[in-house]
Amino acid sequence: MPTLGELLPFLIPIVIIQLVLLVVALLDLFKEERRVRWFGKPVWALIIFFVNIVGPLVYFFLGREDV
Amino acid sequence: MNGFGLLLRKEIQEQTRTMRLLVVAIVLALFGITSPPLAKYLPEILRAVAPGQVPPGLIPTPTTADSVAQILKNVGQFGAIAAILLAMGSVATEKERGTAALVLTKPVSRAGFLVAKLVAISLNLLLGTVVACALGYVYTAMLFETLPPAGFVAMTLVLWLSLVVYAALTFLGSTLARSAMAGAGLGLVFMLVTGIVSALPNVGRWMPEGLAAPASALALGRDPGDLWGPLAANVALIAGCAVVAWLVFRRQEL
Repeated sequence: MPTLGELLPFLIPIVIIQLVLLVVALLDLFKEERRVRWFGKPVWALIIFFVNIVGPLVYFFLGREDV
Repeated sequence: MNGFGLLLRKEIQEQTRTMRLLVVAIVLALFGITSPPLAKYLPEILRAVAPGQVPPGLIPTPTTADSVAQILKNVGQFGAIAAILLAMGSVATEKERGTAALVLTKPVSRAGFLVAKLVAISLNLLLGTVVACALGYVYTAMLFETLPPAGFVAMTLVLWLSLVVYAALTFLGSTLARSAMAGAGLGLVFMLVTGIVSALPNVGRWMPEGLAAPASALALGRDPGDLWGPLAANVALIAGCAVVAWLVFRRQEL
């Protein structure tokens, strides 16, 4: 199996992507004018925060009113 | 096509404002990053998941071709999903909300309105495909060997063309339908048809699915065979979708 050191070049960009998605999605969610679908804003915040990578993507594709 | 430039700028601004540009690039980038290590470490992952159940020699040693195949498969599949998501509501939602009628009160033609949308979606997919393939190229070089860059660029463009075909099919569905979901449904049906046709002998290589083999050959620096015919067929398919969409849209009451 590959060691952690071998995997770091792949893990680092994925972690950066996760952090960028998390911050951008949360900033977008908490805009005053943002309207969301299916759930309320607190539930979306939990989904974005706790479901790595997929959570923010689901929010962007399905949660936002204008997408 | 009156007002094309203006409408294209509006569409690109909307893609940026709604984060679609960023999200598609990030999703495809993830598959660009993860495909080469998946190809490299798949035998070890399988051996770790089922210890003792994978006989030695059953899974061949991964090669550069496996890495390219993973990139084409993963970026291709999720790029197709992104193409559907981008195109499904492009016309239908604007008709539903009445914004299409509002935009068309300005001195812009219906053809310009449609082409600007399709070009903006294609540019979004181009950005995502380029980012994903560039990362895939770097990680393939790190884990396997450095491939000829020109061939990889050609592969990227062929892959992008196949994604634009899926976007154009869904775009046609979105023009025919009254809601985004119906547009997506029609797009999926059209894609299913191309998928079935691609399984037929002789005709299959003319479909978007048939571009994967020559794209892989290009990336690996091999002879892709007759590529110009299938490329022309796919460009014609995109143009055909745009023309049919225009013929339908110009008669629609908004």
